[in-house]
Amino acid sequence: MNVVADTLVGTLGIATPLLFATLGGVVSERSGVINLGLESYLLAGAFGAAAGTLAAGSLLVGVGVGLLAAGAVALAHGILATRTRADHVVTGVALNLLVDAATIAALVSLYGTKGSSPLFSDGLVEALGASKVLGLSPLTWLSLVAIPLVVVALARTKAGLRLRAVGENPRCAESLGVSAARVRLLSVVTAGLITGLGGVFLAFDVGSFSKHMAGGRGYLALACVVIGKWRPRWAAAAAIGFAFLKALANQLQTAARIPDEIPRMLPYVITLVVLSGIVGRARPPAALGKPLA
Amino acid sequence: MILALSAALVAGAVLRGPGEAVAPEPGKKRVAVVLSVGGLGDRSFNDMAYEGLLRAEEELGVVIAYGEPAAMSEDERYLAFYAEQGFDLVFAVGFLMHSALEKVAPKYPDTQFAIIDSVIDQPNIASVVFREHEGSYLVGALAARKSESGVIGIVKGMDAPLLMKFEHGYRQGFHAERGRLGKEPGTVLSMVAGSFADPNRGKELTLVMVGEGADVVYQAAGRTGNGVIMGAKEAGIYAIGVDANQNHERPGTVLTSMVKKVDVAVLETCRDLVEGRLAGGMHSLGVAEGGVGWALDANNRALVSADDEAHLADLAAQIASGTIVVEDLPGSDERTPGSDE
Repeated sequence: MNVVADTLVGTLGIATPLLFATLGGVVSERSGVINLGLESYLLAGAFGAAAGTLAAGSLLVGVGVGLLAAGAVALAHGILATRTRADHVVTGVALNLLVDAATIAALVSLYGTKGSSPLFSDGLVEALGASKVLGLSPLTWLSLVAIPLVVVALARTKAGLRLRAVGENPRCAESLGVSAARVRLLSVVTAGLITGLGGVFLAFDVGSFSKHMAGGRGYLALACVVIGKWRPRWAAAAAIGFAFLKALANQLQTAARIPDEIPRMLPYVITLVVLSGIVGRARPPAALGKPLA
Repeated sequence: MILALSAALVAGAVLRGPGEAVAPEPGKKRVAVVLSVGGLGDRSFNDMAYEGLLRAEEELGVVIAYGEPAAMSEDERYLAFYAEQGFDLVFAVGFLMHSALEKVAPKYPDTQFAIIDSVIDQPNIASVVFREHEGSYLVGALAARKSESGVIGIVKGMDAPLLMKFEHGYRQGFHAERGRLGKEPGTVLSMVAGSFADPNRGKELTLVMVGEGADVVYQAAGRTGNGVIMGAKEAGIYAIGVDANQNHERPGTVLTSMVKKVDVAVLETCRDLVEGRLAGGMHSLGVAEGGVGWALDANNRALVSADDEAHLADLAAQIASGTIVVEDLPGSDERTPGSDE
């Protein structure tokens, strides 16, 4: 068996939801909105994808409903972050708890169960299999293509420039005629849509929704944003790096018995090291977490 | 606003009472079941306990009630509520309720309690546990008959003694059957997901085992196991379900399920109550008592030959009679709490 190829394919599968959430996190945070709500976007995206697919019998409808659900959660988040003086950290965490409970309530009302949605039919599973390109889900390829797209959009477009300006100094941006509130709101919704694709991937990967299925990936993505010092290419590199470590640990589990806790701890240890300033200086956007007046 | 809303949601859940009182009917025993967190609709443990309760109502004529605590911190209050109401028998479903029942039972010495899947040494508690290793032996033997590569796997939710018991029985059944077939012992791969709620991780691990040649994968991993079944489906290998009969989840992929008959446990405990012979202490249900076994139905009929079926029936009879002794793991009845919620 080809262990190297297996590890690489494993890495890209694990990286997909993480990459989407990490890029979403960068977009939100560079506009100045601390985003602890990534976990809720993933969950909403996964639930929407499963519910849409099951209702319509179509994967494309699933993608659409997943994006809609994640976008709606992000819109609510964005309104709270721009129209009120609510603390970004608290609202993000509250949103995670709320969406987690809401998906379970929706499971009960739609399917009469509290654990997981019905499974996709064999036909849909075959369609998922047939949609693969070189053995990988189209969403995995999209997550890779999204990296340069976000890099270029932030660095070289007018919208990206405005977004970064609002994240550094919203007053200065306002004085130049840019509505800081609008820019932040749009950034958070964009983050919701990008991260929502990660949620869609989670549901499609296993052909159903099950409660708590984001499994902390949103928090891990936020760690990647910090480790990448809020720059999309390095944040994405961190996400792929952690996915690689996880895939490697999986491969080694049967042989070397590395406790799963070690690869799970590592990202947070590195985050703390980066935040403590031991390796270079981590400089968050200057207006990160500061409510607009 | 959202904070206030979620606070209100939490408060609503906490303040909701254990349910209405059920008036005693002359000459009828009253039985209550307090379900584990998650409640009805889990298609597994809680639903099976409820099923057993309904059968007790129908077959034994007992008056029934059930409660669904919203959080583990509510378990004590629910158990005490039914004891206070004068129920004859109160069930605590699942090892997560171990410490709640341990505290409540001494306060109601005249009430008979029962706990499923855990052992508490108190005179008014009947502890019902399953010999999961025996059922796992049977599915391991079937895996040996179906595996062409001689490599099979198991995904466990966590590294807990209870789950080691599943693995230990599975290994014994697989290796013994390979021996009976005149083949070398073969290999059993074992992986730990670290979660009972992460199906994507279950699939990842399954595909790793497929890469190492596994063609049958057993799971004792809750919802993480849903991903094991999906991974098996994608890779074109067999999966084995657990606890409830999961044969219907992906017909053609799910070879069989190691069923743990919680419904039978509830029904039989109620029968003991009605017939006046219910006592405290440990009641262990294995193959002989029909408490564990392997599932065969229309969904996996095509995967199991008449020969396989007859052979497994024979193995089950030998386990029941004690001709085959499936080794347990010392200490495996110490359940690790907090595995899911």
